[in-house]
Amino acid sequence: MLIKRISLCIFLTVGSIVCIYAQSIEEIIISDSYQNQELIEIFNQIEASRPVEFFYKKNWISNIKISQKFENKKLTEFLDEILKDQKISYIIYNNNVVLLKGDISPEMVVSSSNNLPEAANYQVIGNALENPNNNEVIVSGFIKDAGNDDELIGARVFVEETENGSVTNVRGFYSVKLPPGKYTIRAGFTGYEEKKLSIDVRSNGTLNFDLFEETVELEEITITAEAQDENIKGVMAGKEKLSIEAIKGMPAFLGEIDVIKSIITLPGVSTVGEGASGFNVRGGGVGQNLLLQDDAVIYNASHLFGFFSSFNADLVRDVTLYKGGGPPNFGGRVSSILNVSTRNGNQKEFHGQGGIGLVSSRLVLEGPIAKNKTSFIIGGRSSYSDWILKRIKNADLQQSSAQFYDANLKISHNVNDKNKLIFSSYISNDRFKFSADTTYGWRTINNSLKWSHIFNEKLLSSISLSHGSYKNKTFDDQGFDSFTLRSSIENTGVKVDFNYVPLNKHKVDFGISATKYSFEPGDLVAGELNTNTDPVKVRKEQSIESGIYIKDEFQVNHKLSIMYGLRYSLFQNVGEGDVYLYDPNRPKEPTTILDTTHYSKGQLIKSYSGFEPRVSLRYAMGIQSSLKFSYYRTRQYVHLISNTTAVAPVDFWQSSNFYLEPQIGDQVSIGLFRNFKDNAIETSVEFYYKKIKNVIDYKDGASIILNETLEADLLKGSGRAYGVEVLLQKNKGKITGWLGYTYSKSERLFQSENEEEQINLGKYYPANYDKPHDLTLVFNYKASRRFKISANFTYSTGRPITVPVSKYSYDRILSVLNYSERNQFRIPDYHRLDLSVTLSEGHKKNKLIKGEWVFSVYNVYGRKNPYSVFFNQNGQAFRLAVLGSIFPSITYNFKF
Amino acid sequence: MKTRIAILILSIFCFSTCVDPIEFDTSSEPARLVVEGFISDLSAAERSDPYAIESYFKVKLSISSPVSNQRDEVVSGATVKIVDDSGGEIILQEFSESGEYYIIDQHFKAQESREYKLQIITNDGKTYESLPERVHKAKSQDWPYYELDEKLIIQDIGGKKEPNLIKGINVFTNLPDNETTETAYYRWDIIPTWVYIAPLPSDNSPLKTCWVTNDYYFKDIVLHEDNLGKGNYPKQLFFLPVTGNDKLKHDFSVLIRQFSLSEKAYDFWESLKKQRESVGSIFDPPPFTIKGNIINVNDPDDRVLGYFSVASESEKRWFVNIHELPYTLEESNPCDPPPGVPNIPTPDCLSCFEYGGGSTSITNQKPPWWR
Repeated sequence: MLIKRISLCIFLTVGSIVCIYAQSIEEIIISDSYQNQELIEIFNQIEASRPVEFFYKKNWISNIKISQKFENKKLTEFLDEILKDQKISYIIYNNNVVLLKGDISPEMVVSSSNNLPEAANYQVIGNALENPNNNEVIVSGFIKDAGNDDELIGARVFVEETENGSVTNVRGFYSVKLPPGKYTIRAGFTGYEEKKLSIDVRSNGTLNFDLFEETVELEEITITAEAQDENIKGVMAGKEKLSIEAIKGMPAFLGEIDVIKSIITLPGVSTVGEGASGFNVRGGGVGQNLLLQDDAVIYNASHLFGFFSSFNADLVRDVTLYKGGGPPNFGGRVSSILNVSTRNGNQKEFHGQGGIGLVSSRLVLEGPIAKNKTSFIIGGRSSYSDWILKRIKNADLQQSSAQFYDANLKISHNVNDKNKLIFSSYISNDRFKFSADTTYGWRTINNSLKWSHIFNEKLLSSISLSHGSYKNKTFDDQGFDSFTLRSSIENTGVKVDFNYVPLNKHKVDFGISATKYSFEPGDLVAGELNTNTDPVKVRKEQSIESGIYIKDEFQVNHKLSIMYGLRYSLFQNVGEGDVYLYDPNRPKEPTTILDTTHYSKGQLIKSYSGFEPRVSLRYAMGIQSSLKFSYYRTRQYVHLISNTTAVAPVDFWQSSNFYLEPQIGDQVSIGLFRNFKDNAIETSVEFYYKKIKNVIDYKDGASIILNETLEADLLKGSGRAYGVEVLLQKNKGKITGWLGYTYSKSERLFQSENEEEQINLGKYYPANYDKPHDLTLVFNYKASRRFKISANFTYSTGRPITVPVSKYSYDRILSVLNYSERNQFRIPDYHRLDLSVTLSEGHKKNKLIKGEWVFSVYNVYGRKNPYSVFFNQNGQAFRLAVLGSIFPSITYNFKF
Repeated sequence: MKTRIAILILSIFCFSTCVDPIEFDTSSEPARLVVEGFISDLSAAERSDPYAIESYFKVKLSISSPVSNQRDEVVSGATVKIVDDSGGEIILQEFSESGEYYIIDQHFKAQESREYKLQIITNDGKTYESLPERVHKAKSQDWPYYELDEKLIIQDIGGKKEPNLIKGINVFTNLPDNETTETAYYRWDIIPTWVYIAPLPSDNSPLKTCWVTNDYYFKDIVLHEDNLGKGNYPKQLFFLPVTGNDKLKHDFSVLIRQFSLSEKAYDFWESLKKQRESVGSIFDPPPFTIKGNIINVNDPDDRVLGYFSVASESEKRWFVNIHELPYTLEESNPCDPPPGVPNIPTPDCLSCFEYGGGSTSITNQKPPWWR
């Protein structure tokens, strides 16, 4: 209170005082003698006769009496002497003396001489007695959401005076090393208000931050996560983070907030087409992305063939995408890592939120099981999209049905200050019945348990056990053509990670992991009435993937930070299984099998291993700009087998084995980042070049389903991709958003001595997802607290396609199509504009349910973007535009 | 409340799927020479109809056309010859600027010991040549034969799909013995001819009885790979429905030609088959160019479409008559006037040339090979 009064006084008076009293404090001389006189009285006397005022709280000095004689003492000398033993310090501020409780370092006075510290009550950390030699100490603690106690991952801590900082780890824990002294420390996180504290560090100690979510009352809403200058200061190149607020802010197709669709708006990320599942990062395939939700792998994140994604937005806290390999604690995919983290349940109160949309509805409930100790969060989403299909003017689709649901459960338990347990469970299910016969179904079930332990403020660890399965099933359960075709991948893994902060400028992570996979590439059984179909069972495969890594984030100096690390991965394909041996002098074909080798259970069939170096460095050029460089190598041992352009529900995963070698990706990137206007505007230009070894493609006309000699139809080649990504982003103000543009090329090369094993005569050709120009504009306008407009425009070059270039009749076949070489043509360009308007209900404090209406319009100008392009028997081309018209929708979201 | 919203949405919601033609600019793609060439170890003289033009070996040359309904243009005036590895050559004669070049020697047949190549010099001076091909001798004995069978066919009855059990015949071949260890590759041509008798003309009218041939009646490309390399086992060639099949009413015959092919020729046909069976959906494997075995000698970029193959051939004319079957089926005569209704007979009741069941040729001259 007092502080406030002081500040106010100064603010009101300083302006005039400074002008009136020309005499400086330096010139004030005290020559007087006091006998048991109250200090307050002395100050009053000085104030009356000299051009100076004192600011203080009466009870600080009311018991101080002075009995001393002063002769020709400067005012400062006088103050030094009388306050010497009083634990009172002072600063000179615009010819005024401000008394402060506690000690203050001389630097502090200097640095504050033109700026009164607004929060001058210092929070003392530690005890000076424990650190008599004034050694460097560690300040550490958690940064949490003040609302629900959820740890904030990737929140930033920054010490103004020393300009060093730290980012919270996956458990929301940070630590900084400092010499004892007084500091101003800031903690911030996207979507949260920044908190600034003055601390007085004396020995090792804890400092926790509780951050409040930025309320709608604030003018500024940050779009991207992290500290506002994370793009400049972060050392990881190619890292993109989206907060759930940003994701929710974008207009959504049929009002379904979609994590994957939001990712696609980032530069360097694209999709092959409307409704296609998955996404492509820097010219990589859909199967080259590692999708993680709370450390558990998701193999297919699509609902309804990819029109929606299977992450429930109400549960997602944030989404991080690493374009390229990312830090060495991740491995296994050559294109990108998408890490989706979900929230922990509120530890203090019960809450719920949800939404009612056109396609699906969702509900999330959370609350404490034991207050401040154990919490749960449970959420689910279910579709009722059948009626949409009924409205499509297509007889086949009207007989179709589509259902999906997903559900998450997360229980977190704080055993004590040092131990925490989190159990997560996830299920996602899809069923799509096409045209009254075939049903496509796919299902993910993941469970994981994680134990985090803090040894001390320097060393933390976590152990997680996880089990996941992805199964797909295509079946027709009625009639004489009934059949069931299944495939699956299952993994069980253990992962141990350590975070170690040996010195202030280093952050070391290391750990090991092991995953056991079992693959079922295809199993066909005939239905009861079907006597025409022979059962086929493609042999199962088992493999073990293990990894060990170490990484250090080293802040060399204020300008240079470097993340360097190494991962070593080992992959073992083990029995039981059979390996066919082909005639080495001829192309692999079922007819060139010479022999079969049988491997017994657990016997090693083939192993692959290798190092994966990862380096990323940042060089700051001033406060507002930096240059980043990175090199990542990654090895991918499991392969998505799909020879269609879009991911089909019958696609399956295959292990590296005797014939199928791991894919190896090398990516180099260099980027220039610059912010303007106090980080309100971010700009960046990034170049990358990527090479992938052992990319797979398929022989002409190869069929991948139920192929027992798949290796004979797979071709091994290499890929290269390069491009430039430009981003212009505005983070503050009423208008926010970004403009991203990517120019890229992604090409494949399949050379062989056998013409049959070449593609396009052994020349480079565009990959299926090569889309050179890609532009995205995301625009948000916050007209008032309750009214927000968003728009989203996207343009990209049409994907490559192989088209018939001529036709001829042959024998009794009237029209044989003569196709171009692979991917030599392009489908029409893709562009689309979406709009949405969000209307929030009034923010009355005690309202039980807070609701908002979201009106959105997808494909505003009804562009007929092709979903697929097909050809009739004469080779004439047609495009099928599934979403070829304007789609308005309405969603109601609520929170309580 | 919720229902009201739903109604509101329904009224403003427009969900439509649309298919539009689009065009790709393929004008930079040159038209290609298409070669369809075939010889076998069965000479015209040894065939069931030695004098028919179809019995002679021919090479057909044409130019591919743009993707449209346009017919391919023929390539006339070329010099076409077949050469063997002993230096022998035979020159083919073009039949009246049809682009079809025939071996007019009725006794010519491919020899098992020889390798053959096709050579073409077009009248603009381009020289084309095929890769060498040779006979993989394999002839069937005691074929074809049939077995009575019943099959469930899903039929669309009044918009509802219902299974219907129909009687029919499975026709088999007996695969040739294969004494080598190599895979044998087969293809069959199945062309039916049947008798159609128009009910209304008098018995001696030229419009009464016709022999109808339909090249496209059996649409499937029938292929088989004898991986075991042993042969001598049955291979089903086609199923001929009997129930409701009026083609069998009088007399029905099928010309079955069995070809033993080279591996490359088989791959070519297999590619054709794959292309025909692909429906062009987003889940189909990507389409591809079908590679043939003919090259431009001087310009490898001038790609040639089609294939010149040399086969070992067996040919059989096979007959079946519904009255020979051990069961009788209900007969109906569509030309009988329905009782009490004035009847205007349809053209096919008045003339056998007006046969409406699909044909590629109709004649009232009894073929010499007809039984």
